[in-house]
Amino acid sequence: MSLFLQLLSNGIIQGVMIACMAVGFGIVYRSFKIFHIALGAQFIFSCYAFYFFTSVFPLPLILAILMSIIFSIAFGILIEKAVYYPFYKKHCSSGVIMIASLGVLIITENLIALYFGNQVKTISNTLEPSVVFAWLRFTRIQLIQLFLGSGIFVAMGILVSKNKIFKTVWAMGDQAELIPVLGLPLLKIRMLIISVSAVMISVPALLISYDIGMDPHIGMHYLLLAAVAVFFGGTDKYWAWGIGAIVLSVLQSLTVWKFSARWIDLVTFAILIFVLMFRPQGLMGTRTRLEED
Amino acid sequence: MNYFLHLGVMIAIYIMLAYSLNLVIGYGGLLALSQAAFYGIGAYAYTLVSMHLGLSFFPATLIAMFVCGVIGCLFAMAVLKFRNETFALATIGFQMIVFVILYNWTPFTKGPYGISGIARPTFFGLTIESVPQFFIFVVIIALLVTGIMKILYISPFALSLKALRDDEKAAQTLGISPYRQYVRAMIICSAIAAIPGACFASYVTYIDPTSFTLQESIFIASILLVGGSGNLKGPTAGVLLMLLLPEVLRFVGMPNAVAANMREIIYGLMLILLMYFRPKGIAGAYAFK
Repeated sequence: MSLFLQLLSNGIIQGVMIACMAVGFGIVYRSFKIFHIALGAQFIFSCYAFYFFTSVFPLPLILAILMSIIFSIAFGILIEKAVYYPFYKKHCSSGVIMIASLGVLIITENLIALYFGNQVKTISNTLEPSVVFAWLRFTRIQLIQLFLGSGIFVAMGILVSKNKIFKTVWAMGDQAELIPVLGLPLLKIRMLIISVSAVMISVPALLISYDIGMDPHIGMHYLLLAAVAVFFGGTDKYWAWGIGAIVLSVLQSLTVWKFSARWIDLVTFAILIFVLMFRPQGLMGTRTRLEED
Repeated sequence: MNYFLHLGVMIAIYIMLAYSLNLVIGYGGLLALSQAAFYGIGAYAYTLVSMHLGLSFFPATLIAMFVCGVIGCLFAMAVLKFRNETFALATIGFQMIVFVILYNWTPFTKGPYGISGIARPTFFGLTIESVPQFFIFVVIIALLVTGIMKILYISPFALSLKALRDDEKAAQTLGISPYRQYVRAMIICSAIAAIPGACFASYVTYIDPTSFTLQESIFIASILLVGGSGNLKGPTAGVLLMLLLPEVLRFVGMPNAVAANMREIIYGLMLILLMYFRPKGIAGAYAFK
């Protein structure tokens, strides 16, 4: 029983991290209909920026975190300016932008591999002190992941539901060309959305890389987790992304408990296909009329 | 000499993979990122059938094609109500599931250890052992496959796929069923992928799941995105470019460790630039939507 509760708790903590990444993916997908594969590139870029500022060019930890997040935002803006916006201006389809986004991921992971090498890098070489609650044992970094992750997920949810700009972007859905009609600056709003996405991916990237290290090819894995959480929860509802992420992560933990960690990816993607087949709007999504598609 | 012949064998294998996927991507307009899964299922099915039932190359390959076709049919029936990114995501999901099964179902696939000692093809008592012999063998098979695909590309079936690709609703008004035609395309695509799978397994005489990853699926799809799709020239151009580029990098004296990453960076750059300036790819007929 205690093993079950421990795995369940670990699943919830990991779910919070996936929820943040799901926001990074979902907010771009929901706002501009871009299947943001380059989010995987942003994940690894954030990890390696953090590694750089802690191990290659060491700064105090807080400063290293801030610098990594700033660099991640700058990288996101670079992707928007150099790739997404030119494609948008050319009225390219979402499929074409998705392939270009894949190109960004391939370039980034290989540039990072060239500079830092393909082997796993770790930041912390000391054992994390653990904290015990009842039967449950957590490391300090897990608690930071839980509280910081939940905090920024909820804060962003409130911002998205209360702020006028986010509400407008959300209401416009995939018809971003209508935003200038309302007198809002489209380019700045695109940069804002990409920056929010960068923050939401860089926080879990930093925490995960601090906990378990990194290699240049982990971006696709975390991108897929984020995308599955968004489609699992329902692409149109912010809070559904979080629920999708946590349910997904808890199911992964139950897989570890009942079967083996080796089958986690099978469960993840089987859930994805099952949901897409039988509930394409996601767990909490609402069905749209055929005319709306 | 063997080096060039080995390169020729790999080109022939990827030509078959690209031509089969061309039916779904180039003619159907669906971005499928699961070709390595069918390639892998084909390779494993061929290997297991030939080792356990003692069948020779052609019967074992036919069974592998049947297995791939059935799995492709079931998969297509499940995911063909999706289009665009959702379809691509579903195919990624399928690819990941197949990889996990190949990697972890150790009693059946031997997992990460792979299966070694796969027999070389034998005909009328002659075993195809050397690289030159295998080169001739695989080129003949590739010519047969491309011949069949060429006939298929100009058939009414391919025309109906093109009609669906260009305007699905308009095609439906002409009585073309998207579901039926796409399922057929997926069955053919997956069954044909078993042939290069069988060739690869019997050529290297060892298979393990790392040859059939998501990266491999992305690589095969990139062949069509870079070279072009929807015709015969595009996939050929893509295969030649994508397979010869690393060799060119090697000839200019780039160390192997750097060349692997540089090759990927060039692929990535080509994807972005071609999507922007020439979405049809280098020699394709279909601009991806």
